[in-house]
Amino acid sequence: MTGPRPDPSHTDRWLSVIAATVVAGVIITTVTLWVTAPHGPASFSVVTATTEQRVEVKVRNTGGTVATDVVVRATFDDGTETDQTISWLSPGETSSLDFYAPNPDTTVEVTIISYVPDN
Amino acid sequence: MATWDDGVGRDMIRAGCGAALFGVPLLYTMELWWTGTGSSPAFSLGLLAAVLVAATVIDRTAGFRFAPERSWSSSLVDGVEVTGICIAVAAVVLVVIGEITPQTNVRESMSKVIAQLVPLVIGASIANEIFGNGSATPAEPGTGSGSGARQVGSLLGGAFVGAIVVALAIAPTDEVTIIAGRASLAHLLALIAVSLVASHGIVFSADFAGSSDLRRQRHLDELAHTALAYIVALIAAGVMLALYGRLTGVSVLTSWSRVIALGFPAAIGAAAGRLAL
Repeated sequence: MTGPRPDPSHTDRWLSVIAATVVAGVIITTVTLWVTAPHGPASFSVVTATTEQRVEVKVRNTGGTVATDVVVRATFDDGTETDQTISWLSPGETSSLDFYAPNPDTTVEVTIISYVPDN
Repeated sequence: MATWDDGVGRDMIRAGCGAALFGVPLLYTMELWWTGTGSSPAFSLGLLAAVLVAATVIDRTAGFRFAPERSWSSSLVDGVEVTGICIAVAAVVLVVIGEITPQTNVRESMSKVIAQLVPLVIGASIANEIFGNGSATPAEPGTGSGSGARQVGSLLGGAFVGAIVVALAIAPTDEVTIIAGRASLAHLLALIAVSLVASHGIVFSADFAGSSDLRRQRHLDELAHTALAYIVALIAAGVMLALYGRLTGVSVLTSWSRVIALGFPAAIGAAAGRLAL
């Protein structure tokens, strides 16, 4: 830079303080969230809600790693099996799937058949 | 012999910033990552040669360096130089977003970097034509003649609009989800650092047109403005991700990681917005 610089304005002074504070806040928030978050392999919680033949399945990744190609299998009481795949499930993310039972008021068992951990 | 004080360093910074400015949407494109992954060494070498030729030809009319006269030999030297700068920019960004890791072999890493070069080299070469002011010496710093509220309003408004313009097209894409999903703590902190450095370089170090109005009395104040613009970029990134439903139903860390991931292109857009507005 050329020539002497004039004294900083009052605005610049408090902007410097605010800027330093918020950037430090961003870094501290990032580190804190990272340290306190779960970091284990992907794990899943499954909740089902059946309305006549429609079975709504909500799959949540409760682990700390992204899971891809999560294969969800619905097994109905007559032995019918149906698979659906969730392509991507981030930690804490919930994905909803709809299955349709062959008969009204049938019972269903939902299981996670496989997934690919994304490291 | 040209020295850093003659503007050589500023030319190189301008080229790097131009590359980031124009290349960031493609740096966040998984199809280009895959192009690098599946490329043969022969294809990569051919692409690198084509990039060198293109950089040399472009330099004849729109080089990254201000020059009253250009010869083919000087354009060839500048072409090699700008290609090298773009290789560095691509490598840094690909490492920071987790596309190149210690587990990636050297051939694949080089292929991924080379695959990114076309948009970066074009951006680095034409940045002068679009944003350059051609001053041989750095502009005088602003004296802060406007009211404080107006200055802050201009800073925040320009940064927000620029962030939206550049990052809006990236926000709904799966690339942000992927980058955030695989990011380690080191990646997130590096993304923050690279965003701040790129943003500061574009506004205060590259000597683009409009930067003289943004210069402050002290470098510390310029750093403060960069930091504030980055916060605005993060807010804009959060708003865009929320609008596209990318922050719904995920953990707080995942949401935060996505904001930081989109914050890089948003920060570059914020810097461009401050220059333009």
